Amino acid sequence: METKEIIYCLKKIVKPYVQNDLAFQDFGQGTDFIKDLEINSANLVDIVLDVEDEFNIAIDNDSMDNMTTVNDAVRIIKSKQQQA
Amino acid sequence: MIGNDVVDLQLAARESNWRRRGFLQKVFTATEQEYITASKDPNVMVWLLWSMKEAVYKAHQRQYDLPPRLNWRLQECELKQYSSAGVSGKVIIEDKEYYTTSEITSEFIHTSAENAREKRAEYAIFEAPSSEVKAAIIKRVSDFFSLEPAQLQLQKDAFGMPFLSLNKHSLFDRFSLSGHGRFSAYILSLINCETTVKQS
Repeated sequence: METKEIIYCLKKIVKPYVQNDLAFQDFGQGTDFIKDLEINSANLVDIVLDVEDEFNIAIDNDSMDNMTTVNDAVRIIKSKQQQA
Repeated sequence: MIGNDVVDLQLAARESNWRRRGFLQKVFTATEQEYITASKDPNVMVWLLWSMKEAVYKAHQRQYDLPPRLNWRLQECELKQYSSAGVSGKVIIEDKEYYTTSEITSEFIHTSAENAREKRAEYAIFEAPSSEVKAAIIKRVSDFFSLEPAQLQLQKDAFGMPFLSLNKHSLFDRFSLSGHGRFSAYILSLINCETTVKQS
């Protein structure tokens, strides 16, 4: 999957959990889920689970550890898809 | 170091479905999952353990200057005492021990975490927006240092940890703020703080 396509999917996944709509307008590789979108930490669990379902991958604890930006998520999704 | 976390139980019920497939496994260790299964009120147990983890990670972050992380299983919670008055617990993260005390009501759960066994921090919970808790902590700290509240500024470091500064210099960081839904809370420790401030 291409980066652009992954970001498009991520944007849809993240949308219901966003607390800062202004920052969401600039959603892109550099977006930070916590700092920019101010997503509640419990909803970060939902995002990880949604990403697993959407991309049909399993995200282990080590990978999840630093999945705090869109860029991190793209990198993790790509590497898991290659493993599959 | 210290950390805190408040959970608005109404908002948690509305925004988070911990019963969805995979949620508990992502967040809780096998022992913690047993606490939840064995509990008479699994919903309260889930958010109690959650607030313990969040509060402890804030203390740990502050102590070792760490970025935010998505790794709740790194922490292992142990419940020491569970009564209507409150819950005391111990949490281990990366071989470091933290001690927690939690207050549970029908509306919220608040946990304070410290890396010392004896309780030294004071906390306050407000049913008010975060601006009010911020004003309250600034007042408390400025009174302690004999300053005017307007002299202190609440700022955040690169990892999002708050600190209070005076004349653009960091003055005080032994506190933690948490807000969720209707509730906002602070915890702070003024023990062993110098009460005099060099005013330039």
